[in-house]
Amino acid sequence: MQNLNHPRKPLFALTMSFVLPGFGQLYNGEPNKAIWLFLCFTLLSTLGMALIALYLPAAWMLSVLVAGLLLTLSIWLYGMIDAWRAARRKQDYLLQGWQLSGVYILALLLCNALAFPLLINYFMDHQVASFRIPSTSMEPGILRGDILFADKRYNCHGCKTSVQRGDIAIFTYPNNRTLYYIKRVVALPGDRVRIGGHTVWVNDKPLTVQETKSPSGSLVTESIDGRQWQVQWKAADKQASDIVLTVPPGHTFVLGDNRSASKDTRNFGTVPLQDIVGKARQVWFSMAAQEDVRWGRLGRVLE
Amino acid sequence: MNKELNSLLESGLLSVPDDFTERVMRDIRAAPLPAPRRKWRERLQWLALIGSAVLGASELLAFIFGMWAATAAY
Repeated sequence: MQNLNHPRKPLFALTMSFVLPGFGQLYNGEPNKAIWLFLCFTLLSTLGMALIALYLPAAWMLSVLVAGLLLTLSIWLYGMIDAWRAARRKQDYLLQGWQLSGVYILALLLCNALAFPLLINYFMDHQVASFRIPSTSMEPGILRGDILFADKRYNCHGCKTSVQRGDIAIFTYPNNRTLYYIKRVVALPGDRVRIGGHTVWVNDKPLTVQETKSPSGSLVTESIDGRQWQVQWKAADKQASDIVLTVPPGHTFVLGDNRSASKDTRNFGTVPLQDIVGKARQVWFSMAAQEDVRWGRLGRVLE
Repeated sequence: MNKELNSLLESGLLSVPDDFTERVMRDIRAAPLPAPRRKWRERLQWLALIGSAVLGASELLAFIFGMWAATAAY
């Protein structure tokens, strides 16, 4: 076989590594390095760090994810630089038997078109996902403009965490299944719920611990099963009629913390347990429209 | 310096081994020839790379930043 010299093109190698970490190394005839670079990128990426972060205290989540993002970008950049430099050194280069166009295309398709989408979908469906809050229905605890991480290892087969009273749950809106809603679960299947005035009773026990009234409304501290949170009522609210119901089997009773500005079970009925997809865990960004970033809220763990 | 040059001249010419020519030609033949450069082939490779770069890079960015892409929850 006649040996032909195929010098490596540095810009070509760099572009290939830009498209897929390790791809440029494959072009340079370094398959082992290509595989390790791809594995490091994939496993140590944001997704890998998200998996780690989910098993650490919630307060650590944001910093671990930021570290994961920086590590991912660093590995990506390193791959590009390494491919460029290696290609520059290989101006006398004999193609190896496996360096065929079909191999390159197959590697690209398997990694970019298959592995990456499958991994990201798995993580966002089953581990952790990010949600943006465009409404005020959960104030004062969650503000409009907050972006939070939700734990998806929740309320599912094989999950260790089931829906509890007091959880801030994200669920599919019953009247429009293309939308997600976020509300607090106050009652579980079989619970008796009564709402009278500003007080909520669950199984004949009032949730109200303390009520602080002001001219604009009242701030009520509620508690159930050892957990505590704050809800707000506007003074101008018309007194709604009392609600008395028993939560049907397989359903939950949800309320927004901003009781006067929330569409919840009082409006659209109980929420099926199977529609609850995640539990709000931590705020990772917060900015109201046309305002500054609310730095103080970054990293806030949600009760 | 003249003395050194004179001593070199007196030592005689180097003797070339018999198979010297064969060895040199064998090494020359083994060295890779430059691959013929076909511009259309190179252009095709760049076209393929740029085309796949657009799709591949978007998948890659979706992978890197997918965790941070937020869905609205009302």
